[in-house]
Amino acid sequence: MNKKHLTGVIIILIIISAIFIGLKYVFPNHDLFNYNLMEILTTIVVTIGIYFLTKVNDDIKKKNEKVEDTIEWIRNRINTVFNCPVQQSKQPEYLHSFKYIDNKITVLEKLSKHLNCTEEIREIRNEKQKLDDFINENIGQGDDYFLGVTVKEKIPNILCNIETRLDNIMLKIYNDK
Amino acid sequence: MEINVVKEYTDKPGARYEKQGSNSGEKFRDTILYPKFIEAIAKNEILTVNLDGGYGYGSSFLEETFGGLVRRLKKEKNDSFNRVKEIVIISNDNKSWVEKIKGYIQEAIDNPIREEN
Repeated sequence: MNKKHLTGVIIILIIISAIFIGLKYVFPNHDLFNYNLMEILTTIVVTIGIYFLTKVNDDIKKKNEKVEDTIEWIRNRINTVFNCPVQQSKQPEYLHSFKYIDNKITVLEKLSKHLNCTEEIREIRNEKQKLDDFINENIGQGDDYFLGVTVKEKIPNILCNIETRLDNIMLKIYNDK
Repeated sequence: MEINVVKEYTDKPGARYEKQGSNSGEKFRDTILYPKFIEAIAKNEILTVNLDGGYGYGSSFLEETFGGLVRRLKKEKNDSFNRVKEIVIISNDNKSWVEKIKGYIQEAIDNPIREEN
């Protein structure tokens, strides 16, 4: 429970207590005031408990939606930019895409803490690093280099590995539900 | 003392070595970073490298620039190679580059000089 929530709960309790005391003065013999303290406390504790359980579930649901969005953004970018033969003329596009993916991985890491995805995130970073190294170390060799028999499957394989880890994170979201 | 890579070099950094194409990490290191680093050491000033504003940086560019600076100083038997760690990196476009660069510098400091291609 953070400080903001705690303050909110205390203010609500004070307001309810004030209303309750006010009503007691106006209607001193009403049935409402025949409850004992234990019953009133139980009602308050249960209400607060339900409020916080709902709030926690709502927060997790929102986080999971953001995780799914971030996964889609990464997936779209890697497939749009890298799922076709590397061309020297597209180097600026590769550079800003690596920057974009790096930043999205950081966001994904922060958003998915509750899903225990540390290993998947580490592997996505490693695979992205391999892609970055492979393209940037070899782009100077010309477009034909990337069409060579020994290297042409390297990028699709890296993309496949990244997709697999993204899928694993997605599965964790649904396994948690 | 500050180096703004985009203003002073390029917004489209290239590969690791000069022979691999234009705007290489090797050229940036030798023509801009190395002289400024030496000057900063001589004046006892902090050197800041601002990476923001460009398309982005390949890891090979960053490694050759910063790890390569350590290797070059080691080759020259210049003891200030340990002070490459003191370079302040500004990278609001991608925070992970700062950690990467620190790693490249540390690795180059810890490891013996490797043969370059």
